[in-house]
Amino acid sequence: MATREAGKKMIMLKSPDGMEFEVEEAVAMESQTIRKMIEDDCADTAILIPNINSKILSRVIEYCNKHVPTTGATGAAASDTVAPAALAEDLKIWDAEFIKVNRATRFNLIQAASYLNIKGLLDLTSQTTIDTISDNSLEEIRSFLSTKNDYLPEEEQTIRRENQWAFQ
Amino acid sequence: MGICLGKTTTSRSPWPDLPPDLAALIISRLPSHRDRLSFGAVCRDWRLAARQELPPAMPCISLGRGAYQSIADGKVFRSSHGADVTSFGSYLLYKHSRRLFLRDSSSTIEIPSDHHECADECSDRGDHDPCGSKRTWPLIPAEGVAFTMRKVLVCSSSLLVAILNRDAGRPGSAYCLVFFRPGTGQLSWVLLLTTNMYGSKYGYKYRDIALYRGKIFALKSSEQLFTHEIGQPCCVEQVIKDPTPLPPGIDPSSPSFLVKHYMVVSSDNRKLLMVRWNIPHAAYVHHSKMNLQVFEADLEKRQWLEVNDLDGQLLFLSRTCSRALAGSSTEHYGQTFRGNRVFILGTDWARIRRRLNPCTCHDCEKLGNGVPSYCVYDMTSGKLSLVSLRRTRRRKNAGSEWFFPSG
Repeated sequence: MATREAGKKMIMLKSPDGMEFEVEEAVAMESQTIRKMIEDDCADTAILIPNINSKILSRVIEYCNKHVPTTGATGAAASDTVAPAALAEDLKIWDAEFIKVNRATRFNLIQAASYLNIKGLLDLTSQTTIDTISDNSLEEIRSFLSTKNDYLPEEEQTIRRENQWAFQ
Repeated sequence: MGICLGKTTTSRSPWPDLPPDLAALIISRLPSHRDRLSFGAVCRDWRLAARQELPPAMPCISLGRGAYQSIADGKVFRSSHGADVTSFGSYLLYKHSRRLFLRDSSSTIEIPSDHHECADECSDRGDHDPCGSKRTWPLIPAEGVAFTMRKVLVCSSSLLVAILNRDAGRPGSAYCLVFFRPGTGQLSWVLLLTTNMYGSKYGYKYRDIALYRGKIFALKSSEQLFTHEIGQPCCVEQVIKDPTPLPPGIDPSSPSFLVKHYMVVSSDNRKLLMVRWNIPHAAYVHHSKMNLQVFEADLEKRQWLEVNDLDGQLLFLSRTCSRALAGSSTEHYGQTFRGNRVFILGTDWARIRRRLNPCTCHDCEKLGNGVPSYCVYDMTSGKLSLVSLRRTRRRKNAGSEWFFPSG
């Protein structure tokens, strides 16, 4: 978690279960939703993030901390000597580790990324889900996501037939 | 949202509660049409999400004998209509019991397998045969269904326009404009005739046709542009007369000079574009170099204007279908599918290369050996790169097209 440093504006984020997170403004503004609140002056003391509990919020902040642009005054993510390409590669590896979470957590991260409007996190979480979907059969997808098949057998037959108009 | 997102759910998966907007978000990032169908088949909510307006899926490339390969993930699919199938945009043309059918996800149209000539269709449009000539010519040679058909446009449920070659294979044959009205009882293409300055009757010969602003736009190899009215295809108007100058360094008098033209309507339907692929005579042509120019039809000033930027679009070019997709919506699909790029079929490039003096680099060998591939021309850098698809072989001499499955 970020600590107060001279010259850096800090923002307090509160989760509905009562935890408080003090983060640099630049980190918090990775979220377009929070950026808008700050720009509209709705954030004098603390911002309550509804619907996102402390466990997920801390992970989201961890992500934003890593992804905040290094050109600014943050200085935490990389030194000036690192080439941009190497930095991007490093971020990719970090992302791959970051997203190694269980399905429930990933679902919560997608929703949090959507609510907080963090494009990078949304890209990462939804892409990971897509990779799962595109390599598996329908039954596997259903069982992986524990999604209930609410189609009637004849409906399913119709859908299968419609979907096969071009390819078997 | 009333639920607390972080609440630990050890016993039950939260995925069935995925809100429709998030389901839509995930599905809009799927570049493969087939994956979207699978997603929509999971449950009702997801099907609804899959039914809404989505960014375009990436097309497939035909490999011949009814096989298609998705360029998004390299997966190969078999046609549901046998091996004798050709694609025209989002339509498949296939043969069944010696009859021809054109179908997309929502409709099937039986189309004629022969045609007759018509000199003056506009003057008489009754149910009886308006044309003097009743002689008909079969269109399907033994080798394949679409051998003679270059392009077909479904203008509406009551009008189809195509360019086809009735004398394919014979010297001097050319592609001519034909039209067909389904539901009128006459299963025959009408070949429009025009009279030349010597009084002889000819078909309208075009390189490409496109549907734009409610009219049929038709391009000649001389870059002259014409329109045909949809209500009365024989109402013709010339809208652009002059060709555009060739870029410096290209000698059109060279025997191996070749130029290919494609017409494509921009993704927002606002512009009619012409792509000119200049293939200069050269002793040695490297596969990474390509001379491609894009022009916009300026219908007020009646001229072609060169454009250097595609406004972020992706242009897919092929004989049977060319299509522009908005690049802003495809940015999640990966580096290859970023905007301002032109996609050309590997087979088209390989065919051109055979006429020239091919280099023997690894990429060119692959092209020559028929490995399914496509070329990506970056409008910004002017560089061409080759993308080979994995694990499959294209049948030798098989025609190749883009196919944009929908529905």
